[in-house]
Amino acid sequence: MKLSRARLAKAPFATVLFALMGSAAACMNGEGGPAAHLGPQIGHQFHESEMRRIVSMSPVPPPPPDETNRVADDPRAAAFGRTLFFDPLLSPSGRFACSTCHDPERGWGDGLALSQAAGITDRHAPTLWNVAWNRWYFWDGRADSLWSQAVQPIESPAEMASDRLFVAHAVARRAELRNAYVDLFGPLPPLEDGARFPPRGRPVATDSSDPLHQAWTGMNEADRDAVNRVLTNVTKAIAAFERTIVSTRSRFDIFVEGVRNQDPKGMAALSAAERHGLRIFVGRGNCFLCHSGPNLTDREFHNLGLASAVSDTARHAGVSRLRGDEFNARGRYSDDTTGPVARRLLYLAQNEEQLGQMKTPTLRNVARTAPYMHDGRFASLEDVVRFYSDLPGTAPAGHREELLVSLGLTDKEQADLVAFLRALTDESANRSLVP
Amino acid sequence: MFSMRFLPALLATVLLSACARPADTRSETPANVGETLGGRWSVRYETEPAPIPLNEPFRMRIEVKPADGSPFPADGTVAVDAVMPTHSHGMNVVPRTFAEGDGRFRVEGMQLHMAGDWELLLDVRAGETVQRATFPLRLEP
Repeated sequence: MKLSRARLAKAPFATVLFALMGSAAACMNGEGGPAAHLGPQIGHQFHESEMRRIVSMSPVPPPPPDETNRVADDPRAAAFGRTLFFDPLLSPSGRFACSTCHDPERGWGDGLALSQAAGITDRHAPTLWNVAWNRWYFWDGRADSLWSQAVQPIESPAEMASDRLFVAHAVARRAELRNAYVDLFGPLPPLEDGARFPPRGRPVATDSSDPLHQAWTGMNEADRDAVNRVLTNVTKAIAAFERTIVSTRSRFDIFVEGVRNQDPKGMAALSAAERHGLRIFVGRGNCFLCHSGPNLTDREFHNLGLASAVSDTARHAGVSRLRGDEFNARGRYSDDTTGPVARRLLYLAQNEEQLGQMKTPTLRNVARTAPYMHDGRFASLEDVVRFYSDLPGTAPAGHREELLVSLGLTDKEQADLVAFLRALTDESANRSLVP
Repeated sequence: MFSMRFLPALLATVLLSACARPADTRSETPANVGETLGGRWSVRYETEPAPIPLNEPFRMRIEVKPADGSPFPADGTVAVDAVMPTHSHGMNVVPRTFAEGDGRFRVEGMQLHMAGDWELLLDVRAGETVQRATFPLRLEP
């Protein structure tokens, strides 16, 4: 409630006293008064402060630009990237594609606790819903753009087990891919010259005797740079496709639209149980503090005490890797080394607080992205909510976020919170993305 | 002579004053003027954009004046930090401060990533002494 003193001086005494009593009461509970203007069904269920939080979570705005990727919003790049995303042509075994672990039928994840492709990874595959809005990529944020992220699974021995020379040759080999590439990025280097461009090769930081590393370091610097250009152009096209994986229209969004327009039909999009769950979410559950904004994530990192081991330094290690990544936003392969994305690196902190911290995931379509947490330890949303309610155990790495205290939710409250999370599913989400 | 005409405004003043809280960043007049503990410096800051956006970068402009009216010393510096006391953590960024002369500073790279109660900490250093000005603020969407 906002009351200017000038207006108060002119107001009738009883009106002012009544208004101030309301104001003082609101002050005591710290939440503002009921949002009565929304009518008896909704308005008396939420305080004004809760409503402010709720409307800040919808609608989803257009995706932020990525100036580090000059083809980020080029439809031709997205079409090329879509082919590369679903086709296993970039993996030497011919078995694995991005979609192996990011399957649209499994919420753009893989349904597994720990992802499996050429091997088993040590993390759960995050969903790609609304991935364009992320600030950092991977659970530990070791990449700062969607295109630089995509380099790593391509070359990871546990994932696609590929390498940048193989990728360049794979694109050059197939006419339709080569044409799409040249159309977007210009001519490929003379990859047919086998003496200059071996069939396989990449840097292997952990083993300089690895044949892939030997082949890579045997090339001259200009040719290595040319191959890095092909690799990053390919991942920029993949990123352009991934930016189209967008969800904006859940029942929660329809509810918020109803609230904004004071339209009872829209407000009826959530059931009483779901609205109760929403109130817990933005109120005493404190879910909102980390799951904030239109994608229900602060895009930052927190320690829930779930690190698998003391040695899992999570975000702390992620910062080191990001700074050392030749493909970060300030590197030579970025299309904008001074803009907003690149400037994040200038102010990037690294401190002990980051030990054990993992990135807050989006909750959009969360009912379709099981299992949960960075290691997929929880099979269901019920398990996740029970965890926050009881908060068992201690943090193996770093220390748990101070604000996290067991919520002690009743069974009914837990069920209603889960009901709200299910209302974040977007039944209309774009299915035309799937081949 | 007390006039009943002003009673509503007086009551409003008393009740609203009793309701003092950390500066709400959405309010029209943020409490952005104060002095350092110890009283040596008067400190004023502005943010861009204003009010401070939740979980987005913002810039600060700070003006520090010696309380005794003397010129700001040539070796004077300001360091800026922000913490959430009830969460026991600070920002995920390390902002950079640039001196612009006469006790004026520009701070780039600030970002408060969570809703809730923050404390903005401005440390003014001159010679061997440091004095801190603390500005509580409440960040909401």
